Amino acid sequence: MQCQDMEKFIHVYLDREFAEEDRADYERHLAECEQCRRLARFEQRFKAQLKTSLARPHLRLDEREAIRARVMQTLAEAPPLPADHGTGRWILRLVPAAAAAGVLMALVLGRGDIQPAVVGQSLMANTNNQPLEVRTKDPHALQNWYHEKLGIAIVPPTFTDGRTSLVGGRIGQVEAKDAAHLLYSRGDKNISVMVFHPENVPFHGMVSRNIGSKNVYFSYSKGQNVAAFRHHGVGYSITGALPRHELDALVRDVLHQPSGITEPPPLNAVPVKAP
Amino acid sequence: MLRKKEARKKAEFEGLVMPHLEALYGTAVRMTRNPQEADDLLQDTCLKAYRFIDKFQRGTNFKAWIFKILTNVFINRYRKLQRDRQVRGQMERESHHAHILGQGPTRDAQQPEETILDHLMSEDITQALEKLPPDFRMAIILSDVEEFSYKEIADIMDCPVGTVMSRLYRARRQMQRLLYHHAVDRGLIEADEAQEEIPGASAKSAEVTDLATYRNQKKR
Ligand SMILES: [Zn+2]
Repeated sequence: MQCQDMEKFIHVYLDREFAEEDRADYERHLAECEQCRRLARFEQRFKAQLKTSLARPHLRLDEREAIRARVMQTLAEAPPLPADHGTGRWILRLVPAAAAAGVLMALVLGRGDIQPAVVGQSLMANTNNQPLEVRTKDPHALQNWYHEKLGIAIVPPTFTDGRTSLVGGRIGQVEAKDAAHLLYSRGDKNISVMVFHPENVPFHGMVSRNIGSKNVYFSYSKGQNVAAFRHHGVGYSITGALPRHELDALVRDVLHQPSGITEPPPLNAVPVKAP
Repeated sequence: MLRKKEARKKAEFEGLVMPHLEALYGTAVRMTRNPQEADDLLQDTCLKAYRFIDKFQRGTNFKAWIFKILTNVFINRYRKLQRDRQVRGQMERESHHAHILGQGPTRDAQQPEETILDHLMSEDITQALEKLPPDFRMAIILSDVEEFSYKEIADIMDCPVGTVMSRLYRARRQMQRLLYHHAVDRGLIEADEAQEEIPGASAKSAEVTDLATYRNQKKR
């Protein structure tokens, strides 16, 4: 056995992963070879130093209790069953072919950990800086604009944190359907609220948790948190680069407000934006 | 009645998960490098574990099982694999010329056992760890902090034991390289000092893959 082969297996030796016989051979060489012994000593000290330096970060008692409490809370809010069937009504009419493609894709991809389209579309909406079609701080003006565009008055939610304010809106997409993309600003960050027809918009693959009595679905990507849920037959997603508990607060605000649409127009009267 | 069953299930799950909370949180902090995100990762892990608790076989290793879930949730949240791969490629190219920590004597030649390890602080080591690609970082935490066996790590990271060996080997060498450069930058050692080589350390890192390789090499 040569010294350079010894080196390659030094960690296997120190991690005590050798079978008895292999270990004995290894130690025979160590007994004879000062250089390998020196390396072994060095690596052993290095390992010990990793262990001490990287030990779990020290938590104060109150921090530990806070973490424990949040886990207990999360578990208390955990929904009994992952199955979820929304009772979506109308809002935005389906584009049949594209919607069918969406369903097919969901079947092909299966459940697993694949994120549903609403996640990617919400993230894109919030990070792509697409130009707004209407820019206004006035929720009523925006409501009227959507009524004109979509035949439905989308009611922009208002937030109680005092720093998330309406900037404007545009027509976005969720799955293959038109959706209202409402843009808010919060300090130097964007918050996007998508209001969409919840039918055929799956949330599976997202982590779910209860807020109040509502099942809310969460996802995270590249610094952005997404929450999606159904409320009064309307689908919502809220997306922003903000910590989860702050996002929770925004979700709570929406859940305390009445439906995000004002009046149900006749199903066939809903215009669909030309592709 | 259904509620009662649900409550019992939750209580049982809490009993399983609570003893590992600090280990999970600590790992989450090292992986996300951010306490807020670590907390999110921990919550997601617990939720997912709870949802799949029926898949856990009673009497088997719960800690390894829930660490596997943590790893999966982490990977799904941080799909920046491409960038990480680029970083790693770069590190490996560097390594051909890099000095390895501890490869030569330090300043005081009278004390051959003294190495630059003596000059390093915990912070230096955590910072070096944070520079590693996520799968290297995870391998180090699982092995050196949580003391899982190679077999358990292979199961948690969903890869063969040989891959665990090679990840640990490369991860530790990479950390040593980072620490060496750090020590040179801080003037703890001089760049050209580490001339006298330990034979093993200069090996052109042929991959450590499995024990069969070890046994073959032994015969030579
Ligand atoms: Zn030797």
